[in-house]
Amino acid sequence: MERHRDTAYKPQPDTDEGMVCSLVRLFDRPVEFKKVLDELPLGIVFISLQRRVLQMNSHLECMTGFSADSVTGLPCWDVLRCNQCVNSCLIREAGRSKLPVTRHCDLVNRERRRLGVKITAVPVHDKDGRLSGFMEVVHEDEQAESGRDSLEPQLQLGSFVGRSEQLKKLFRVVPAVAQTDSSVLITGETGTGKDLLAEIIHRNSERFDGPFIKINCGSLPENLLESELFGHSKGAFTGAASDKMGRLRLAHNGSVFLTEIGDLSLTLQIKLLTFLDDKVVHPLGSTKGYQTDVRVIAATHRNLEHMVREGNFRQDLLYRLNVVRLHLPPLREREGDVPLLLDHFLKYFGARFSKSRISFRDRARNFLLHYAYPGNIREIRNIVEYAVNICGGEKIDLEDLPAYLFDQDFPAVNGQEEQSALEGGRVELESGESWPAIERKMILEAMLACRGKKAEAAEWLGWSRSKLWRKIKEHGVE
Amino acid sequence: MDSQRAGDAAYKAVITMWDQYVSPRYDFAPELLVAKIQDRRIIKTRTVIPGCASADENCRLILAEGVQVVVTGAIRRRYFEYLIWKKIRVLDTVRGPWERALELLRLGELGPEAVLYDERGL
Repeated sequence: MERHRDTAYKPQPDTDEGMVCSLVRLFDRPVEFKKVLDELPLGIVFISLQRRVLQMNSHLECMTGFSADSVTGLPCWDVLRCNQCVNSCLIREAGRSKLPVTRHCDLVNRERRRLGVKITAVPVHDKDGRLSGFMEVVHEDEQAESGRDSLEPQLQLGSFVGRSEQLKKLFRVVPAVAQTDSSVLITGETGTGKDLLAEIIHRNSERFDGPFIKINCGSLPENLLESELFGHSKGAFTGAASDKMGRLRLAHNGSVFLTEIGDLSLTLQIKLLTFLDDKVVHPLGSTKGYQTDVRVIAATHRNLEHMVREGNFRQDLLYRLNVVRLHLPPLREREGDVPLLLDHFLKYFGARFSKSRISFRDRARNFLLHYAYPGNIREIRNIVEYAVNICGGEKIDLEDLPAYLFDQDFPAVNGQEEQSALEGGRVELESGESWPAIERKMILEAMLACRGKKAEAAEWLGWSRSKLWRKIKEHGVE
Repeated sequence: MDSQRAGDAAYKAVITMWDQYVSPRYDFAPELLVAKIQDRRIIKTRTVIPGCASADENCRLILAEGVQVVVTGAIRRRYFEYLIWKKIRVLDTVRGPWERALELLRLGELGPEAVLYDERGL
């Protein structure tokens, strides 16, 4: 490299006469450390406490365009030239936290080319635990750049499909939310895709290569859940034969997803709140705390404000979790999404079960368009999967749909009433009309289509004749 | 380099700054030093803090100021070539304190890829 007026500056050469670092006592014979590093398929650089480059391998030489000899002793920011170097130094962060820190960033190399990279800064300690320097591991990560650019508002975000205004709004917000490191609270009825949304947030965040640990707060008894979350030390209780890390520590440098947070006991709520405050995990039976770097995403189908009023959920925990709140609307409120989802799942399962030409017969489609889907996306997906499996031909008819859809009254009415009692508001269907009004309209449409013949109308609706009679009486249709 | 020699007409230079150093990145430089140099003398300097640090904003400012020389760390090819196309000399991959870079620029002795740290690496 041409150096202009660099006579004043003499980097330390890594030569036989100078410093050749060797690994001794590991193998039978000493081996040169640099040669071992050069074999690695990722960039490695060792950095002093003064943030000067001590050693780097050939992979990083290729990435940066600088030879190791020419940059030894230079500040690391003049070699890596990352956006993080200027904005928020990873080395400093790792030095402060005494833990590895990983970030996605970009560097501009000597050829003036920008590279998307993932850098992990690792603090290196001596045998007495004193900080001696740092190691940085650099992966090329072009996908991260293109992945972020592709997150434009559209009909689909990850596995989410929808064109309703509520979903479009969500598609616009989620990429921005994902990029922050704030706690997220996802609310919504069962089957609306809370787990999926949590995963999308994680995958689109800076932590997307870190672990995504899911914990169902309602699935385990309190004591087991505490051990699962925070871990335990050996002998902490009968049966604790060895130390256990706990999922919060396993999620270090990633995200932890606490689903059904409303089912968490009050005792654990306090412990979780303490953790959210200082991000220190105290395993059961241990006096030692472990610092972690974890993003928390929580979800619930319950009304937490209502639970706070009843004294079943801590208000301070709600405030802590409720930094960013995303509400997933039920399917009945997502105007125009049912036909889109029907087509989407039909195409998906058609391809999966080698029935690519399969489609809905009009009356089956009409029936499904008017169904209320109390189980939301999960239910519509299951119905279509069932129908594609059962259908022997290329047209899905009413008899190919699950029998429970016809065996009972539309369950959504009861489900909605339960939900509305909880929310304290009146439930409106997607068109703004109440369900009985829509049902009445359906009957009228069927009677009109079948020229008043009730037997045919019942078949058209996919109901039994007795059900149609009962409904006609109920709605006063003449 | 000829345009920077002693006795030449006055010219304007920009050094991208990051604390006491030449900014390692052109696009993330928090400050720009605009210097007017004539006859090996620095006539005038002022610091500009862009509202939002970006390569585009820096280019806009450099063109608006009628700058002839840019001193910086890493710069992406598209911005480098744009500035060259605009007949602006770009001295990139300059590493070290910006004051030393300015001094060498004044003397007409600064080139690309210069390392300006002293023996102690400061």
